[in-house]
Amino acid sequence: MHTIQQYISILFTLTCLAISTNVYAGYATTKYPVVFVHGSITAKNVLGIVPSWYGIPEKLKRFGNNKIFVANVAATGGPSVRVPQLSAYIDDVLKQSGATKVHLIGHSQGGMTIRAYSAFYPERVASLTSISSPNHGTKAADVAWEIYLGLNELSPELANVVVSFVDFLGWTHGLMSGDSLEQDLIPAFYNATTQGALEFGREVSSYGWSEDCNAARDTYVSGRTKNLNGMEVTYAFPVYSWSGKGAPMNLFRSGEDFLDPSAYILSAAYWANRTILNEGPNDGVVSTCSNRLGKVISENYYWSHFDEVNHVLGLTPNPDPRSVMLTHMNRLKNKGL
Amino acid sequence: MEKVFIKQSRVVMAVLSVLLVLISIIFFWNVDATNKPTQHGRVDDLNDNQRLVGNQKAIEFDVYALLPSLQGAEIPSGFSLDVEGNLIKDMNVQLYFDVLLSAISDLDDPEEMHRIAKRDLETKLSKQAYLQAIDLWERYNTYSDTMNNVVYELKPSYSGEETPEEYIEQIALMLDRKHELQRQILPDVYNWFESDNEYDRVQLEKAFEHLDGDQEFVSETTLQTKDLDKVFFQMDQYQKEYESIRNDVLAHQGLSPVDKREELQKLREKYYELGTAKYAQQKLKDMEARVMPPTK
Repeated sequence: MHTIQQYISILFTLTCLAISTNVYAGYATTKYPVVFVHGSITAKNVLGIVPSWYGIPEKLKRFGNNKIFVANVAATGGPSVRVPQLSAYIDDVLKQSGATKVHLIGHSQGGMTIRAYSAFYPERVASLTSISSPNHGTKAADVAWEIYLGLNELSPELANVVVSFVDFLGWTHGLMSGDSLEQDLIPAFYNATTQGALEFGREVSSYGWSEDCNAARDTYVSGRTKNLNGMEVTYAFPVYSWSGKGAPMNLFRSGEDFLDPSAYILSAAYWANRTILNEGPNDGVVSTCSNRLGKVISENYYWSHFDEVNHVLGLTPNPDPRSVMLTHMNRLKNKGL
Repeated sequence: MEKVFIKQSRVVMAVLSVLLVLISIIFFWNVDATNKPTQHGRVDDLNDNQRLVGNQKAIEFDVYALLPSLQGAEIPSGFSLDVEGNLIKDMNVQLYFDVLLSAISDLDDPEEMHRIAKRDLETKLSKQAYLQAIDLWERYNTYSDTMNNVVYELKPSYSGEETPEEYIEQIALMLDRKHELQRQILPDVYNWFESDNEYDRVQLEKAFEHLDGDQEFVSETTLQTKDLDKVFFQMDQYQKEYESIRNDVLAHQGLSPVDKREELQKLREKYYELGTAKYAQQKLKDMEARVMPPTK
């Protein structure tokens, strides 16, 4: 009988393991593919080496989502260049996966890009998620824009050189990730200003957006509209956002910041944003108020702008950005998306 | 007699196998049901020795009110016990910990998260399994907190004067320390981190390969820099030409300010893209409007 007990024991254990594996394996499985879109002055891979969304797709795949795609779009580009690039990429994703829609997740300028895409192709959007995007502009960009205008006034040539140089850096960055992409700094720059973000919201895309970042917003949008091809299409998708508020080094909360050179720069930017520019809580680049779009998941993450995408090399303060994304995938799954 | 016993044993085993397969099918059916879109899953109890616990039963207190960033997402469940009632420390447990900890920022006091986890786990597991889960939970948190402290203690401050190689080496050192902590604090679940650790290793290797002066990378950069010099040289010539004509227009005595403005705009349109030229014109007008008093 001892043999029978052993046999039963093994079978039970195997059954348990099979069941438990099945549970965790499906936690992040969404119906539609997920497309990640990076921010400015980076590409699919930072300097062509380290992935921009460090370890995030891998984590989601481990928990059952095999439809994760990471787009490579212009490092310095507004919607006019980024949307066609993203659109071509999404066409491929849809073809490969056989899906009709995609979940769009954008970090920083990537958030503006996915919003612009949703304005052109709302019928292809399963959900929109903006991670620390300048949806209401930033005062730092306003100041930089004024400096640019002043420079342009004093010497258009010099301003042009600066723009060309940044565009060139962006182009090189894209090339390192495998694509020679057209760049266009100025619209991306302008979109990040308060006025530019306002115009963007009014004229390009207002899904889940309100003019005043403190006002109520739609968390789910639906309706009928004409797409870019003039076809009547129906659309329906939820809109989400979240952002960090923890750029400064804080010995008591995050020792890892010592390792992160970006923390020093972002610390200065954080305090400048908070004090001189009176932006309130921010991640060193974008204020939490500016990012607000659709349903705000959280604005309390102790993350800098780079921590939000799990940099540098996964050494980020708690919570783990990958776990936050994992939870979000489950949220989308629970919506039947 | 022995043969009869063996035969009976085989029959019993066969019957049990069929029963277990049926139970497994029922299980999978239910597990699949919990994977369907729902905020609250379902409870699956088998018997005292083995059960799959649904999160929804346990959460009698409103976790979602305490941890709003988890709203809409399922708090994972699916803890498994072995025949002796021990918690099976599989990826479901890690998933549960990770999801709960992803909401740590919702709380002002991190201790509150411990209370939530304890309360939740207490209602989901038998006493024995609960104690094992809590022990693991506390060690998992200790590992996370220690990692932060260790990095602080090592203080590998980045001065900006270090080479990229040195900087990456510091990161590699930190990751080594991280792995060491995983082995020290969580040796029984080290496999939870294997994929992440392997991923870090591959990325670091790639970074070192590039930083070590990968030939292709270096030659590509050199080529691009050469192109950049050429572009700048051409741009410089182009701009000098533009500037020279612009100065001529500005110095032209026979032109009125309005004519000069028109000429300058024509010049911009010739030397720059139409969009840029128009944009510059508009911005100049805007600036002018700001600095000039309104005309009556």
